[in-house]
Amino acid sequence: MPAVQKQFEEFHSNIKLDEDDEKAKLREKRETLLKALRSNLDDDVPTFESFNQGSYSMHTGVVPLDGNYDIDVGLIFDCKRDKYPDPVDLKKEVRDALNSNGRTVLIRRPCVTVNYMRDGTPEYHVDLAIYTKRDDDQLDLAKGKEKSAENFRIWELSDPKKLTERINNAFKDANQQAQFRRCIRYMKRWRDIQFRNGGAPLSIALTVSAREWFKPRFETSGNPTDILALLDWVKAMLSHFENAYTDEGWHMRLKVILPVTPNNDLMEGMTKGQMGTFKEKLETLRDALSDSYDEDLPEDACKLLNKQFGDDFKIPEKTQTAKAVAAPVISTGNSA
Amino acid sequence: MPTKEELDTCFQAVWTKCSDRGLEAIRLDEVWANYIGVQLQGETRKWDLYVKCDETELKLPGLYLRGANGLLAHVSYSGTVCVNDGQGLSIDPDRHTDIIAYTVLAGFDLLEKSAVDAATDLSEFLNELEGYWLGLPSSLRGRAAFEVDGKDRLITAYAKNTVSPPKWYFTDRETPAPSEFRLEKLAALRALYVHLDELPTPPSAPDKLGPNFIEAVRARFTPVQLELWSKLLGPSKNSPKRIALMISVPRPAGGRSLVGAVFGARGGVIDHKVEVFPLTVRRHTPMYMRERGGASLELLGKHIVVIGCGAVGSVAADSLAASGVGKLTLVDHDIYSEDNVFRHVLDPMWIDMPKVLGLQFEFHRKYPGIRVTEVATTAQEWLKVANLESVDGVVIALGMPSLERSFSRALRGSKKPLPILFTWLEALDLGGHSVLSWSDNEGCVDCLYRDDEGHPALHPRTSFLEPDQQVSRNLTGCASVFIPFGALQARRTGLMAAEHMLLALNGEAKSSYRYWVGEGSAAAGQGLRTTSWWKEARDTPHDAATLRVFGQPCKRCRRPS
Repeated sequence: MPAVQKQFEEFHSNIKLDEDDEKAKLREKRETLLKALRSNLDDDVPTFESFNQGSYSMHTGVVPLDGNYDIDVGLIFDCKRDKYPDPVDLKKEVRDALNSNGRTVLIRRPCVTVNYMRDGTPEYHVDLAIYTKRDDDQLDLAKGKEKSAENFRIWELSDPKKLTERINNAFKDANQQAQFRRCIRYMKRWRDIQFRNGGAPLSIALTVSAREWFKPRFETSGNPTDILALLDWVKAMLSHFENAYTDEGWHMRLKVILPVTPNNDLMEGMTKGQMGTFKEKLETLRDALSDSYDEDLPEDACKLLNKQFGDDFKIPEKTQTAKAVAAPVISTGNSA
Repeated sequence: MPTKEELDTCFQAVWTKCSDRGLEAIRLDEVWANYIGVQLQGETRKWDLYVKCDETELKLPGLYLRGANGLLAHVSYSGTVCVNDGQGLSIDPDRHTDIIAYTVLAGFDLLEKSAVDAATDLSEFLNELEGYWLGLPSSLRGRAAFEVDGKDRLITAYAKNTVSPPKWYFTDRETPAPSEFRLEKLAALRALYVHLDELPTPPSAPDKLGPNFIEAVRARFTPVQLELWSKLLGPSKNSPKRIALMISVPRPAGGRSLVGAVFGARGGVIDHKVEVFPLTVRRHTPMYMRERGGASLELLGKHIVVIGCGAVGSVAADSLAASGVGKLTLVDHDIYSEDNVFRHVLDPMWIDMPKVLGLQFEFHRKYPGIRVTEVATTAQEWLKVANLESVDGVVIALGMPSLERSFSRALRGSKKPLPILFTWLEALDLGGHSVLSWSDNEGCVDCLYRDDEGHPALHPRTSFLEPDQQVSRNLTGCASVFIPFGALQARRTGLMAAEHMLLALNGEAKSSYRYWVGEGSAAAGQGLRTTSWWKEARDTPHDAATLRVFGQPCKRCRRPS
């Protein structure tokens, strides 16, 4: 296998977080949580079903840098939103049912987050999204915090399963879908490395932007060329930055629209400054990918990539990549 | 021979169908056996139509209009009504009487339109002028090799009187007639070609074309045309006795109609005692043959260089020539030999002669109007003196990877953006390739010679065959070694290359890759190993294949950012 592609695939093995890789502890925690919820919820609270959402369901999970693993679980309560005119009330029910030793439960705007602490720092966390049913196949998502003003406590139309389906069916060909997922993971790890101090684009934004703009890249040999696929995707993202107006005035922004209801811009949370930084870092990534493709020696190429993607992207030893010196003459069987 | 009952049945069918249309079909007396007569009342005229009832061939029955009706579009001098152009007709042979009724009604509708046309500007009639002229009594036929370009001039005529009726041939002055005319020892006669904006009204039955018509034509001459006329007739003492005059007029549907007449002259003027013969000609001109034969007239002004005129190159050149390319420069130092015959375009008579010489000769014969320059040197020699400014495209069919790459680099220096197409095939029945690059754009043949990591390789990405296999053969010893493949593979590749180059000439400004994949059974039979690309190429769409083979622009063609 070509050297750089090999390094990418090794990088992928190092960073991917799948159901298989899911720490047993985390799985255990999730089951315990759901069990506790079932038994501790008040009798007047309807029953619920749970499902995985987020990167677990889309097979795009990456190992977190700070070790604070997260899992996204959706809870669909068997009632309509009218049972809880104030969505935060239902969230409180959930919070109250789970608050106990070892767990810190916080009501956040989109989720109820259960943090598992060890020595005062979060070790794992589970994001519970609270949904109620509707007559059509979609769901209502409970949004709002305890201290939110009334107009921020809302039930928002949502279709999490459709999104998962859209992502999982981005490409019919299995090899193309696999490259798609690898590249999403590369980008997420890149994001984690480059934005340690905050201002990072959301994972869901990166994933949806891949669905929009990612195109697979394979050679005539049939081998995938992840570096070129990634480069094309980064260039596509950069080409979609355009001038937009917010309270901070006119500036270049990238819009990534959720392809399912409520079709909002997943990048709207980023400030002008954060957008500017994101664009600059993308440009640096683009140049690094392009330059590393042009490097003659794999070790030099990987040095550039390691700078962008962090130490899980290993730089090979010179001896590992030394190619057999190719013959100066071959016969091709061509004619005219 | 249809019986009376059969004729009656035919009329009944006609009557019924006309009645459905609200028309009353009145039966006319028989005039010819096998025809029934039907009179129909149109908007402004009564039409006396006769339709043939015993048509056995799979075409529409003949339809005739009787009586003196003046000039009508699609009606010949003798009354034949041309109901349908007969192209691609699909007829139900079991519905005999229905077909007759259909023809009568179709003829009626046509005549109604022609009546309107006759009452207005006769433009539809004028579209069919040559056809009408051909049907005039005593009409003569001929062949003309001069371009009907609207430029008044004296031309040369030849009259073959050994056949009856006599045939006439026309060429430009001082220009030898095409050998196909077979004019042998005929004397050259003076003739005149003029272009008029409008012809005097042609005769309709029962009138005939006569000297008055010629006078009327002359009355419309411009001073320049009158001068030519006087040159044509010459001084009164030696005036030629028989003169041919060719006249073109604009055709409302486009182009020009060409009609003529042969008339007598005496003492420098038209001889009214001599019969006038209408004349129509088949146009034996490069422009006519190109247009009629589907060659693009726009390509006439293009100049393509074909480097390598072996099996593939010669087919590519031949295909480009047939498509209408007006100028070809053919470069190949090779001599044609017995080894080439079965998979090459050239006739065996060219054995021991330079291939490009044979191709030049054959193309000049097959494709009237083409200009071919033969360069019987190596491609490298040609490149040293080539003037690329005058070139619109280069096809390289060498089958030699290193030389092709070196040419790609050399031609990238061209000041004028040039499409450069590389074409070759692989052994036996594996397939062929066509790589189009532009001298000023990204994506060149060097892009292909890289591995998956983008590092240089001697083996192109397009290869169907794994490298370094024993492929070449020889029948008599290694002095005559060859890569085995046949005429069909060469033709398929050459044709694909020509089509690909035409895309470039028609505006496709980006690099692209085309290929065809063969069955591969002969190769498999030889135990040859193929690449994954050979297996996948079959199902890969063209634009995906183009992306794969070119990939990121290579060092040679990358544009500085």
